[in-house]
Amino acid sequence: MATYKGINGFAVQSVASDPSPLDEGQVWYNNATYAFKLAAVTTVGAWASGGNLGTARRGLAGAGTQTSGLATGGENTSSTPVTATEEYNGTSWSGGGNLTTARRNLAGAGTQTAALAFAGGPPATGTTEEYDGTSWSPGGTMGTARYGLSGAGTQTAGLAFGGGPPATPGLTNTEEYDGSSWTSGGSMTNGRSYFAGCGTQTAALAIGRHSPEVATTEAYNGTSWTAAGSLNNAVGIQAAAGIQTAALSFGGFRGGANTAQTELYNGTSWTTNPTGMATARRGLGGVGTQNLALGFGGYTTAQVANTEEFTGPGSPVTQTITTS
Amino acid sequence: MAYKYCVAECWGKGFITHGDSSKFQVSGFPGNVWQIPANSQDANLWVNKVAGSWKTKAEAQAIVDEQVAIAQAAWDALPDEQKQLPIGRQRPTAIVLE
Repeated sequence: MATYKGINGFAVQSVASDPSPLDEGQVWYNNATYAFKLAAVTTVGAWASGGNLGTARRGLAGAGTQTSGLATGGENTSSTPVTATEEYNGTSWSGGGNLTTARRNLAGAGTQTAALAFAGGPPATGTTEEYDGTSWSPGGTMGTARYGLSGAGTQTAGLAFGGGPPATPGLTNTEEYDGSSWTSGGSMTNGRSYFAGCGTQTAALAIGRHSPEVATTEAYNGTSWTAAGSLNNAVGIQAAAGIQTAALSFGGFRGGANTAQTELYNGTSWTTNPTGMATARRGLGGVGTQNLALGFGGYTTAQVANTEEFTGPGSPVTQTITTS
Repeated sequence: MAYKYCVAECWGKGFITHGDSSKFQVSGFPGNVWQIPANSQDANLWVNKVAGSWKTKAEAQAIVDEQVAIAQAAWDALPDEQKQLPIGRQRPTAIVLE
């Protein structure tokens, strides 16, 4: 009979914490939790709960990754714009430096230690703030004050697109940030507000729209926008993660109700993930990649603090070996 | 598909794992109501793990209805200028459990 040692050349290791990164097929014994564990590979994307935000809110912005995320701004349970910033470490959120200007329906870009927060409202603002991992400082003011827009890119190569007013059908304006000032970019073909965006300054994706919701998407190449693959279902006020050729759209609002739906984009077409988020919501924040995304906050029948972590198909995950 | 319901408070990380949601769909509703497939041993084990309190569909619906009513009352109390903000601010509508 084949043995684990015979196959791998070593016995099952006893360790105090789970190994990282995971190696598919690896088995170990976690002597802190008294459990045998296996590094498996997901066959379908799946959402798991993450640590709850300290401040429940919607219309917030995000930056960073699933294990190093940033949430800032938004509107709290009293429907009041907030300055609160929180940092995620893959397990829990902790307080970061507050925005100078409280705002909702803003956009974000960058990383947890080099983020950008810009625009927001109503009332519409064009102010920009830059985060260094500790505190926010003023950045260049946008040419067009707006809210309900989307953002992409980094702190020194950011992109802002769409928004309102007017919220319907939304603005087509694009602006590019170089770390100090905003300049005009190519206009989107369709006005969009309360939609999702992801990618970089030279390869961005605009997804869906609210009021009415649409399924269309557009891709930016640093100069102009062109039509990209359409979602399977129209959606607005959702979140997105990833890049132009490997994007994820999740949550949002469709047909008068919140949705948990999750769709994956390969640069050409969208496919619907078999399972959606656990909590259907709109106005949530989203960061990360298509395979390792983070969704947080939003609105169900109230502003919520729930965080969910997405692991895409083909990703390594830890499973506990049981006798059942 | 038939469903079962429980009430459990989401404590955060580990409440629902990737292993859980790759085996069955957990859907959350207001009032910490969670909907799971009726005929799934994995889902039953998950309810035990999260110390969920089983509810009949009628009981779960009543909890959701109460939360929606609270949200509607809060919306009704908003100043008119808040109600007119264009951010999906429709008055919360009823949620009917499947």
